[in-house]
Amino acid sequence: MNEQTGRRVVTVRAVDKHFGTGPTRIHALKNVSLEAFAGEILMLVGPSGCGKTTLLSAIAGTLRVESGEIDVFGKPVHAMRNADLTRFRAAHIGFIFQQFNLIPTIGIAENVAVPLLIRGSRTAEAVDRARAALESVGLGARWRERPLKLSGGEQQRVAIARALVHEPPLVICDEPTAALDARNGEIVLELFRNVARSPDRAVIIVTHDNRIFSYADRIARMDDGEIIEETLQPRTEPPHFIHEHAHAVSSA
Amino acid sequence: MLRLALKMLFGDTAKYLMLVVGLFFATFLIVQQASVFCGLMSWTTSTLSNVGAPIFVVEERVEQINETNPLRDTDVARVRSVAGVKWAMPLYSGIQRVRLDDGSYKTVQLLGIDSASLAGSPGRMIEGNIEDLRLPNTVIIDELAVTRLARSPDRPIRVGDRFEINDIEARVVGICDAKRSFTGGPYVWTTYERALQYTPASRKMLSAVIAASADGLTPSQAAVEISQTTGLRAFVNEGFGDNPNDFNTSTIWWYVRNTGIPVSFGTTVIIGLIVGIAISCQTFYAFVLDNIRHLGALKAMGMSNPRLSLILLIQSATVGMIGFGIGLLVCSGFAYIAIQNQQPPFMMPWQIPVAAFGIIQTICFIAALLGIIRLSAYEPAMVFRA
Amino acid sequence: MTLLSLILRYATIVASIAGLVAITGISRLQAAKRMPAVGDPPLPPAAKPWTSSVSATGIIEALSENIAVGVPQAGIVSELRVQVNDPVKAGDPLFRIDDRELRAQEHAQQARIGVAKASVEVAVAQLAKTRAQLARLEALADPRAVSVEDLENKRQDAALAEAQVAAARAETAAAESDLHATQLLIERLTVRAPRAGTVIQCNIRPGEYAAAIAGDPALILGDTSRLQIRADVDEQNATRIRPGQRGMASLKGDPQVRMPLEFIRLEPFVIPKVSLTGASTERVDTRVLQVIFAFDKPADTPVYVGQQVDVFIEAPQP
Repeated sequence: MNEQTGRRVVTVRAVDKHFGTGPTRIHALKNVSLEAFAGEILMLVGPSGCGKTTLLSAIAGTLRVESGEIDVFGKPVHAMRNADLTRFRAAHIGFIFQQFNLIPTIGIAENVAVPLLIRGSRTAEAVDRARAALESVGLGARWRERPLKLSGGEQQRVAIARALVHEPPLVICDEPTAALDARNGEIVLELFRNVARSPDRAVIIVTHDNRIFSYADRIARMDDGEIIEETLQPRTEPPHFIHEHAHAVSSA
Repeated sequence: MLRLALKMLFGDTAKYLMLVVGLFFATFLIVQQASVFCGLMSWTTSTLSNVGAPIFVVEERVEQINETNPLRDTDVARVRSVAGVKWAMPLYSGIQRVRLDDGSYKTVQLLGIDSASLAGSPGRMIEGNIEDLRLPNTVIIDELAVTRLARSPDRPIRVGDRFEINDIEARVVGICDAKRSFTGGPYVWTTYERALQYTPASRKMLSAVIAASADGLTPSQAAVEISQTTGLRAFVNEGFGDNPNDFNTSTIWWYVRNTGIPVSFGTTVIIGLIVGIAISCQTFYAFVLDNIRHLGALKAMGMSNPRLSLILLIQSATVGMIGFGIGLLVCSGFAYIAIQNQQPPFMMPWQIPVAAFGIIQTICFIAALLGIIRLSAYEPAMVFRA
Repeated sequence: MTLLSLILRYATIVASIAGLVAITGISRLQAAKRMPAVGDPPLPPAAKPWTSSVSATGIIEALSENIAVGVPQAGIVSELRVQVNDPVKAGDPLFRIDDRELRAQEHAQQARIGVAKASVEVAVAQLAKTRAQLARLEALADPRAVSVEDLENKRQDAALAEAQVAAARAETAAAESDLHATQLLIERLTVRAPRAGTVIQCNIRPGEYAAAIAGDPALILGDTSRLQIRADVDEQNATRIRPGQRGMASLKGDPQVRMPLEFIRLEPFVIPKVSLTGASTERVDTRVLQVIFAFDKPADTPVYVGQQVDVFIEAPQP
């Protein structure tokens, strides 16, 4: 489907999901199929309640679907046992949440180190790698600080560092700019695109913020539990832009 | 992982303090009340400690030392006739009234011991000589009596002072160290014959026969032999335990069965427990709820349930340890004052802090368990809901 | 805020560790305050001489048993001839009860003897006179000179005079006998030692009124050269006692002095125990079997009659 990107890493085939019971029962995903490829940024867009976050949760292995198949890196996510799914998430997926979900009582370097700790790294080593990751989002000097001392944009940059610190092949973003003002949102996404996009990594972003649509390689539009449109966008930035841009943001 | 758990815990100072205070309070209530209870119960056996004979022989139906049926004088000879007995001596023990110089009355615990051997005399003399008890109209008093029987607060009783027991003169020739009595009266030692003179006459006056086992026999074996041969009840004096033939055990159980003391103290301990459980579980649960988004994020990021549970368990156990330690610190302060003043009663066998530790950790475990249940019900997908 | 939380965090941890340290200190303090372990009494009681024995309390008395010398008749003590510890021989006077009343009687009776003797003399003189008259009448052989009737009267007079002499003599004997009885009564008021021994207790003094009450002896006599022990065995242990069993006694108050005992006899009569505890009002229904033992006085320790001893009698288990 997409020639400019690499191999297919996520395959969603005919997935169905309902929420609730009786008259309030909602058909959240209606026979949805989707693919994501390494090296591209896929945006799931659509109005609130269209099922885009549900689809993301299903791909991330945090939500069970009723029928259909979800295949990530050749692994059948829909059929995995809970324990395997947990291990799978720790190994393969980086998460960025709308509310950042940084632990307020520990320093940002430790927050960033959490995925490494989950995978069993030693604390000192994990914090070292976390500091390097913070460096890449321009917060290397402030690694001792607590998350609440930082602005919203800075917090989301910490979250980006956390999502990428263990170099996951798939990054999942849920409304990354919803808690940020327009300017910060764009800066953060700009940075994110530059640090996250790599030939070995697929990125899926859920958003309804149309200002950032331009950062996507491909956009899948959803409405009422169905994918109604998929559009391919030309690349706007070369990959080697990353570091210069990161410096520009950090000094801004 | 441990660092992460502890940092999350210590980061929320208000909740952390609340948890520690709740557990400290529970620890203090449990340890202090249980120790005061043990102290009070140990006071009921003070006569056994102060007389310090290995075997007490009493009338067949006697269950506790503070309420004995008198024996006949020849029962001393009967006990002495038992082969397993090394020696046997009479003992008088009773509550008598002392008249002070200013005319006021105080009750004392009068002990009459054999004048020749002085078996049952105080274990530790502070002043004076035990042998002076053989002089006419002499008594040895304990430290409590020094102030309790004093004429005025600034003039404590000294060796050589006199008072009256039932209108008969008693001259103090010694002051000793003794354990407090349950009734609060000080201990006064005199010889058996003189104790009978101090005491209003009644048909039988011998409270107990104190004895020791012959060489090569344990006190228990000798006690069994005494019981079988004489038909009297022979108790050993080895300290509270599970031996029903120990007078300490028997006396304490008598008080447990026949007084409301254990209920009263038990209620306080249970209140301590409830307060501890309520405050700790509630606070810890609130702590978990506060952090549920972050914990959920950890879950989404691939942290397994056992590891998340471990974090909660580490946190609750740590809070438990710290609250327990502070509780012990405050208890130690209380205990120090109580032991120095000999009042209020305080006795802390090692089982109390150990049991309190177990209880506190159980409370913490329950609190952690509530959090774990809440957390395992939390779907990682919920993190995506704003 | 952060500094405060940091301080609080470390303060609680330090306090907690301090609590653990403090509580071990309290444990140690508590152990130090505990009463010392049970041990033997300051003066160890007498060790048992035999593994299987009956214990009894005994009292030392004289070998002959103590003689409680009584008073023959209540009265004032007028004279005390002996003191405590005096050796006496059989028949030695011990004390005398006031005998002045009897002596007054004696004086009166002696006077009466004098009177009686005088009347004997009067009667004898009367008899001599009557006999002389009768002899004169009988010498006049002439029946006309003396009527038969006169002669017969004189004879009767002589017989009367003879009877009067006999009566006066009898009167004298009676008076003498009265005197002797009084003298015997006087003699009785002087109490003498019934046998040789030593005065071991004296409850009377001259001038005091001595009452004749049983159980309240005026003097106690005993043979203190050899003493014996009367041991009271509780009736419940009586079945273990057999004649001939050995005994061992130690003085109450000095258990180091030990005296081997030699069986003399047992009194086959179980009696209420006599209180030895000093309380006069004791009314205990204990009955005891009394066993009598002889013993030799220890060479270096004086022992006294009436002293209490702890006695062990070698006896088999029941």
